[in-house]
Amino acid sequence: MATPREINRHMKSVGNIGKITKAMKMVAAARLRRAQEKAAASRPYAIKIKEVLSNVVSDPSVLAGLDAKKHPLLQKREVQKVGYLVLCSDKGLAGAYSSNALKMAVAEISECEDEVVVITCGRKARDFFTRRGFNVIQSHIGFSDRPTYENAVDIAQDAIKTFASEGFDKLNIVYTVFKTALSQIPTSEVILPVEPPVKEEGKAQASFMFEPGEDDTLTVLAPKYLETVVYAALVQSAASELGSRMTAMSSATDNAAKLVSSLQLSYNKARQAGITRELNEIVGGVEALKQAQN
Amino acid sequence: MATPFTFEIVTPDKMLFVSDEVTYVGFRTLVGGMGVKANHLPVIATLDVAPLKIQLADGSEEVFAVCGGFLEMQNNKCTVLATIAEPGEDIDAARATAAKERATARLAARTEDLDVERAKIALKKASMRLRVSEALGKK
Repeated sequence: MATPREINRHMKSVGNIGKITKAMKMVAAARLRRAQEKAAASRPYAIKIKEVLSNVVSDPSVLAGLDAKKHPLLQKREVQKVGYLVLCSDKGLAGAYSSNALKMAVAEISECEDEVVVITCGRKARDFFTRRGFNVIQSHIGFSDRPTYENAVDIAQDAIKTFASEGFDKLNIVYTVFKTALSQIPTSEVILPVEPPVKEEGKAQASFMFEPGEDDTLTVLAPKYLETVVYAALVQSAASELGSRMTAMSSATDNAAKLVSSLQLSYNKARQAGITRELNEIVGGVEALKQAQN
Repeated sequence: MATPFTFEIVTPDKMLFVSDEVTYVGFRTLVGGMGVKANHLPVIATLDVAPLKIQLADGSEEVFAVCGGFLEMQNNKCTVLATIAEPGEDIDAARATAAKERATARLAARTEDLDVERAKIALKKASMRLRVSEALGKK
């Protein structure tokens, strides 16, 4: 059995780990709230830009008459190379967040029969895919838990460039949708070529005047729309990461507390055993002395 | 008096500005200057990097620096979608001047790895911000 001193040392270190995980939990909780607010604040813009895009393409003749050269982003090509944009965290200690997203991505990739290239976002994703010998063409790191719109612009612009130079013919995004702090769902969507949203039936159609024409509007609008989609995915993933970290750290704190109390019990037992043993020795010694005197 | 209508500026991070008391919005599209008043027919315009001016029902005016984006006017509701937009009062003139000088220097030096488009856009944004803050200063 371990000595009381050893148990005491173990207890202290577990207690300290518990303090750290508790602090991390509180930090994650505070930042999760901010991330959720950010997600809510970014929604009006995303909804509106989708609406504008669907207004632009609401007239079928607009899409039919598109010049392929002017709108490369909307052009469907024969798929030979598929790109995967995987959003993941930079840091660990977020429970199964990263591994869930990566698992989803790997499952998708293994089903894909075409050539695959990977764009990673987050250190975990980069390390994972380079270690396994995937063709990682771009990697973005350093903002997984606090993305800004500029980050989304960078990612979208890089993707657009690669798409234009036929680095891939289709781009899927794998990210994590935030439901609650306890449930985050890895999701995969096609983001390139841009699939213009179809307007819901029954809504009154206003015929818009375009300034400049539909064609030029679309040239500017398509990349902006892509940026918005990427930004929404980044914001969702950030909230998921923080939610996942909060849950993981909360259960780590609970576990540490449980371990401390069970260690306290064994410490008490070990100490009591020591006292009993010493008493036995004293009593035994006294008995031995008595016998010697007789 | 001119009829007021709803006007809002939305950026990816927040609703920058909302008001029901706007009577006129003046802006510049990629092909030229334009303005809308109440009951304008539905329009979608692509904005240039330019100041955007609004007039409120009480006669006051406000200026925003808008770096590209879209304007949609429909059923007396006007929405501006801009990735970067700021109220005129928030502009840091010193910073804009510095940015303008930087961009001008970059364009003048023409080093090989220069992203000309980007430098030009930076110059445009900086000069536009300056114009907005100067316009405010005169008032």
